[in-house]
Amino acid sequence: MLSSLSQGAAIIFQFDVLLLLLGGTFLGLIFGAIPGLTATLALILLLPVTFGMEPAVGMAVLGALYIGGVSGGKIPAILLNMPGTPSSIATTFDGYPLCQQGYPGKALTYGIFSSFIGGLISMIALILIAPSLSVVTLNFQSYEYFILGIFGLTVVASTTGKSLINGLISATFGVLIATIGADPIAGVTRYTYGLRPLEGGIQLLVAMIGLFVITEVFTQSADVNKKYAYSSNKLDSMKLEFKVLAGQTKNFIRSSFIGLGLGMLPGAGGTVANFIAYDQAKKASKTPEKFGTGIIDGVVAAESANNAVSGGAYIPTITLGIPGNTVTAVILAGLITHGVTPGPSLFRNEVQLVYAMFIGLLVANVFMFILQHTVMIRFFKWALKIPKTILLPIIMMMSIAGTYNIRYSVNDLWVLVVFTAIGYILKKSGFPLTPMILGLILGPIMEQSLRTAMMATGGSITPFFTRPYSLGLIILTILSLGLTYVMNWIRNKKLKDIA
Amino acid sequence: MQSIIKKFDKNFLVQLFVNIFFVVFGLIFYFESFNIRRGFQQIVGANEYPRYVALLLVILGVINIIRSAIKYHAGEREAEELKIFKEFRDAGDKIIPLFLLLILNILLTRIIGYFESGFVFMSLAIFILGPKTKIRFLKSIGFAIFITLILYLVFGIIMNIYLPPGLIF
Repeated sequence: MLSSLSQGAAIIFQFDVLLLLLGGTFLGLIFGAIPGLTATLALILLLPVTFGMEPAVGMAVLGALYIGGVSGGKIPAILLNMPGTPSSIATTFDGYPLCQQGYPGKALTYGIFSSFIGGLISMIALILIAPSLSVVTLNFQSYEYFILGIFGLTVVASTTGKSLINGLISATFGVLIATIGADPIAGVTRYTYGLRPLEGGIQLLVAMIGLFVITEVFTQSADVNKKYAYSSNKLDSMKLEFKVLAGQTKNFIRSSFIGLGLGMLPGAGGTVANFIAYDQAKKASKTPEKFGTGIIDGVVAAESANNAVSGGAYIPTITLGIPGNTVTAVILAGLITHGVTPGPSLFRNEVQLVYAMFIGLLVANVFMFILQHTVMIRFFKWALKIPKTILLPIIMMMSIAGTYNIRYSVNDLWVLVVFTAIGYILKKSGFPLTPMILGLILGPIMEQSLRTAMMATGGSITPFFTRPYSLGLIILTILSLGLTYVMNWIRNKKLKDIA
Repeated sequence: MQSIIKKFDKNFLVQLFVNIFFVVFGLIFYFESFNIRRGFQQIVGANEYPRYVALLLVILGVINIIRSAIKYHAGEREAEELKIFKEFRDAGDKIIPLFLLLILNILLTRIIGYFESGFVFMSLAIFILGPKTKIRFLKSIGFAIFITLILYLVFGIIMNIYLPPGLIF
């Protein structure tokens, strides 16, 4: 592992690559800090920019955007009581009261340090766990790949959105759309209806820009006139006190591991981790009544957890090809766009790239810490002055440029329009979009695996049930679906009882 | 039409419409799969895999329609109205023109180029998103010129990205 790490480090520790990572972290921080803009948006918008880079460098830059995007959310959460990202909601509980009491600097400093520690712990865990897990997943064959695809889709479908069936419909719709164009084995053209632009299939990135970016622009256009008001214009000392840090050791570790664990579960994500870590810190505290009044423990718990999610979410993404959340779904799409097949084979075929991504995340975590402590707070105040009436059209223009840049086709821009309309209507009607994207990503892999497996067995499905890994995954899929159904039933029953 | 909307819960109608869309989409793909070649020596043909997926989509769509109809019949209503209604009430005058501008921009991109059509798009989009006064329209044009130049500098010169060429850039 050490030699692989040093190979990854050799790619990252070059002046121009470090500069790109610094820029990526900075942009991510801006996207995270401006309410309404998210890490997902930053990654999708800037993915086309990484086309000209080496895959390892491009993926490291995307990782830097992710780290910045998650961390930036705390700045408006503390200064404006407005979380920049959903994963910073619990940060407002104590961060904003501290700001109101005249300690915005203190809240930010410990928030930034907690983000750094949470990120560091999860990345070390990622470096240690992912290769060990890959030893198991490297034994996977086409049978397991197919079942793994179904498992990933059902888990994400059941954890995103309020309704299991809506999630499953969204995922199936994505898988079906992915069949447009040439089939992955025999090259037979499907569902093109004589339209040549469809022969190459639906470009994943085009669908993502339509579903996530432009749809979000439309959503944001509803509150373009929102004004941001600071409760405190002066920044107090941003020095870290060793005594305070030492007193938070347990909190750092507990919250980081909560974030790491939840990050590994597909669909759970930073928002859940943020709340659970805050709740656990409150329960473990000797003064739980002080939570919510401006206590540093609350900021530490919330921020350690949401940043620890990032490393955790990379684990299923890298080892299994199942994203832990929407952002890692974009990372997965990034791998495909760079011509890298995600999933268990990554550790066999792309060792350098994987370790460069890991080192890139660690470096971005350091950059995040430095940037937030130095220029970011001032820059944030300036960035918030840009009216959304100007920002949103710029994002749309960037989206159009990014879409066109994929294969220099105006026809892709029409596909973008179609996906924007579909995405907006579905999102606002209660259908989650992440399962659809995952369906688009995993659909071709699942088809290839199923058809290869069936060729190998001459049409028999027996190996799916006799191979231990495959059977285990089938049981996991049934359990996860069953569990979601039971949980939904209990929740609905409780709601009925309350009513 | 109004009386139908009043008679039925509007959330129910939208969800019904979306589920019907999925069922129809699935049916189109299902029947079209019979016109697709199987592929040479395939156990699961290139036509069969999408056929099963389409069938699954149809089944899930029908289940969802039945499920929501049963809920509706039992008098179960969602406490909150769907976001689509709230957003269209609050910002329909921004969302619809913005979508139309996106279409106009793509049409113009082919004819007058990316940066030129971008200028037209941004002038109108900035104006539509804010208060609609004459002075603001002029300001929108000013901002659009500035942003177009910045985008040209970043995409066209620094990053050297190929975008549809036009009359000026």
